[in-house]
Amino acid sequence: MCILIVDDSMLNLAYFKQVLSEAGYSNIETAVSAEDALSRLGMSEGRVPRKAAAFDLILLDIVMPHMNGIEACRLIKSCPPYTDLPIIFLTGDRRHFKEAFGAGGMDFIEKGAPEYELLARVQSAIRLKKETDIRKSREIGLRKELQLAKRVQKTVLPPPLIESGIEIHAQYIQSDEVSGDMFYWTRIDEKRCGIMLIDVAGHGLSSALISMSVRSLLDGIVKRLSEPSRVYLELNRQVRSLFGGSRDSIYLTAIYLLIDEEAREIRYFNAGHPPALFLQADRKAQYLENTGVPLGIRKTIEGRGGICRYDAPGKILLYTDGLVETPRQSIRGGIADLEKYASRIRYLPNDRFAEKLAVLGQGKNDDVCIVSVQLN
Amino acid sequence: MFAYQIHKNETEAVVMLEGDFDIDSGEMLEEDILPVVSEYDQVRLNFGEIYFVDSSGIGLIIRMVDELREGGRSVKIEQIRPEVMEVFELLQIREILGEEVFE
Repeated sequence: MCILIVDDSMLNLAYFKQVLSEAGYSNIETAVSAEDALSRLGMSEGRVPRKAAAFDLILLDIVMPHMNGIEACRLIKSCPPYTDLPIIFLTGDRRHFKEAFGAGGMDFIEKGAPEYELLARVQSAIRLKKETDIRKSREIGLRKELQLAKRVQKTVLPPPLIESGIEIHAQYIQSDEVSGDMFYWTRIDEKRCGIMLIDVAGHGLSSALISMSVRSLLDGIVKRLSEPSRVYLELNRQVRSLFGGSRDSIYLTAIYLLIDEEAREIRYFNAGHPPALFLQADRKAQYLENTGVPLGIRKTIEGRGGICRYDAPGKILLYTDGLVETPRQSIRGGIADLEKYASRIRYLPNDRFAEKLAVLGQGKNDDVCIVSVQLN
Repeated sequence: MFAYQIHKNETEAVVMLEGDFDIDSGEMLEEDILPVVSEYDQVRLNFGEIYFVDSSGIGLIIRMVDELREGGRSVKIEQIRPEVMEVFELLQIREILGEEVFE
């Protein structure tokens, strides 16, 4: 721990240094001018150091030749590495106070004040600095953890599927570091693919944990059961058994497509998502409407689903509700806008199509996930 | 923002809800509103000042209505604003909860 004392009077420097040394502060440096102090901080000639010099507190005289203490304080506090470095002014004149605090000083010591006052103020400034340092390093650690979690979460997302009969691309726009949105697809056999998009209610870490645990169930359920109504019932049962004991409301919305390229049909369930859009050839968009209650809410549900057929190439667009909802505005308006835009760009290659739509999802408060399926 | 007021008489509790209904409303529903209103035979949820419901809010509504009805209470949702009704229709809340909730 190190204190920097800045004063143009040698006498004052010696006095403060002695008082602090006697109180047990061993690491004390002194500077005889504001310029000298800035140079100790690596800030001479307006430089911004990459790393902060190891000071925990500055005691700063106000009245000095050339640059005064208030100006020096303003410079130091506006330099990013030093925004948390406490500065205590040394002054004999109360008229400076307003300006001194305005410049970012945290406290002041009147010259001639008793020693115990000096020591008490120094001690509390250093304690605050220590606490701030600890909190900051925790925050940095936490942020790193979250970024790692985000990367881990991304590794379970499938890469684009590109085949002659079908292409699948996705876009993921996160409002938090991690989120409860997730997509999944797999080839079930030569003719069939299963595709799912889920959105866990809530944001951040807890939603991400839930979506990761649901993700681990999907391979088994989709490959074993495949049929939308059976996948729906089984997934609901599993979510209930995983999280049914929690006192928090844990549930998720999901939309699942089973695409049969031979029969040229799409069977699906939609549990709580806004309708997926099916743009076939140049025809008007078909809606894959809601078919049931979100997963994890009810113990007993009905396994309903929908079906539609295709006889021409087209795209199916799945998305989470963040893409079309704006608080206090009509959601149907949001869906209509999406439909209009998606229709206009429907002939773009599938990856470009998804990228273009993702732009609509930026700047929203919610996480947004988009999956585009091209059927040839 | 999400806020509520409860008006009570002998058999009925009327909950005047206000604001945006999303996942953040959950705690207030579970901890403050449900325990109070579940004492009454009839519960009316007034949505007149609810301007926004998202998919997570829908989950909360279904869960709350289910819980109250499992406890033998009769539940009604009233005065739904048009923009909220759109979300209810898209997600087929009338079918899921039953028409009697909306009469």
